[in-house]
Amino acid sequence: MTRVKRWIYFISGLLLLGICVIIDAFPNIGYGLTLLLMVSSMMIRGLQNLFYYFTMAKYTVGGIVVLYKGILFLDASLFAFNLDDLPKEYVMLYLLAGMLANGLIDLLRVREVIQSGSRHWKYQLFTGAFKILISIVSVVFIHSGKILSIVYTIGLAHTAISRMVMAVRNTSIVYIKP
Amino acid sequence: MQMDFHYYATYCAAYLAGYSHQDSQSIAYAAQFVDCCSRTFIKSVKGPSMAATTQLSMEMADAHTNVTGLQDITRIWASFHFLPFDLYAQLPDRSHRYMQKYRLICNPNGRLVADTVQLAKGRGLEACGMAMHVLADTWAHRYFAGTPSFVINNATHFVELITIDGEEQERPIQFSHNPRTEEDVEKNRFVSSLYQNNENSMMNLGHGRAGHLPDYSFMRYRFLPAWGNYKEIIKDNPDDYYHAFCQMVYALKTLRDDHLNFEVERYDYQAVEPYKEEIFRILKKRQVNACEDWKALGQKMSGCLIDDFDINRYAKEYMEAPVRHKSFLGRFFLAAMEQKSMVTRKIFESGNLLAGISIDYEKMGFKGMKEFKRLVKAKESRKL
Repeated sequence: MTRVKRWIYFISGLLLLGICVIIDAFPNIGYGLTLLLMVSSMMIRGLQNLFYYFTMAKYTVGGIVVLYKGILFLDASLFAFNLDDLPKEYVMLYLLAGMLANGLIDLLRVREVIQSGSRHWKYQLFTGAFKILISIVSVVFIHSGKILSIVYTIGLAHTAISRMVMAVRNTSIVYIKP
Repeated sequence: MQMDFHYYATYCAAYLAGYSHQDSQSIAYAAQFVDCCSRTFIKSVKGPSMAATTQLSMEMADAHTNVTGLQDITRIWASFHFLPFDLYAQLPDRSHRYMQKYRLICNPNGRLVADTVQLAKGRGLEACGMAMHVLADTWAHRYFAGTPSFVINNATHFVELITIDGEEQERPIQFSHNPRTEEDVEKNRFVSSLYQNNENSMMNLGHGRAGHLPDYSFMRYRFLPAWGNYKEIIKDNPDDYYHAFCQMVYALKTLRDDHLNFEVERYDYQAVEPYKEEIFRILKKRQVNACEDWKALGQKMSGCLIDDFDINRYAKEYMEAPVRHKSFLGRFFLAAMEQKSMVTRKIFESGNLLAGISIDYEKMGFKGMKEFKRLVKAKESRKL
């Protein structure tokens, strides 16, 4: 990773952590902020897809699908921005599906590691079980905006910390002339 | 390619190149082991994780497709299974980002194959076997890149070209995306990765979209690659595999002889000639697994029994060795890290950051991942 990219990752990680603190410290604006972030990320995704189409996918067999995808995401995000109220349940289900899938993948991975005879599976088992547990707990409190914010900030904080760790980790390959 | 070619055919090639039965087995073992040396395996023997030469399906499902995650994936797959052909390829009207991916497309007889074989020289049988895996895969995996990419690795319109009663016919190929589904060679039903138009999806890594078609020696087919400007490509596996075999014999001869240097576009047809008919019979036989046929041929050549491949054959030896890097797996891990380091360096020098940043030890000192200190020690011990 180049030095500039490292800084970008580190600062964006810090910003995300700051947002997590704001969401949890001010519950009255937490849900609104969560929604704002989710819709903004959808809009960014739409713009990313359009950029991807014009710089890469337009040369590709079947690449036109990327253009449609970009327009769709952009359109959906603009539509969501204009909604006065979004039912909390829908937002919650969207978040939970992702977390549940992640947890299941972790558990499948644990099974594979155990089958291969390795003993390094405990942390993965813990994270997988934790994600699934959070998803189940959240289903019970599906109508709560506060729980929704907490679930969202857990994911956000994880992303933020991963970004910061990635920024400081040494990933350069050493080359030694033969 | 699968175990039939990487293990048994490599044994045959090594034996034809003049290696003894035991040495041929070691070379073949190392060649096949490239497909087994995952991080999960390495963890189980407490080896260096940077020596991973492959990823298990679950490791791939788990892999992050962020910048560093993609670099790690690219280093593994481009270094050992999809060696790039031309890191300086040019195409008109393409963005820099597109070209970075395009230049990682694998094809045989590229400059990096020569570098790979050269690197294996004097590094032991493990490095020789590893180089043979990389070389053979440049034939089987040609037209795909060892990095996740929708714009490069997506592929469609697969049609098998088959000769029935002397007449060439076309048969449609069907793909299922359930990895648990059995492949049906007779009904032409195969398993491939799911269509994903996300550029960095793991579904778009290597030949995932073509399923195992490149791995079956009998397949002849045409298809439409994403990068090909709507031009179809015909992939003739029996012919490619035969070239791979003849090139392996030639390469292994150069590895045995200090005075010979490997050159691209050279094949030892002469040494293979007595077995040509038999080899083509195996290559063209419609079967998912050709291990038995290759094994029989190898045993006929050497008159010795070839041991079945066992992933754990050298694990205990490695874990109990007083000096680990002198054991079979220790030498294999070193060879793997050297190959990864060399390929990453070449990609980096071409101005492409997809495999990450490479730091020249001689110019900058040691400034990279700690596991690579093993390479420094290995070089120092070679000097002594």
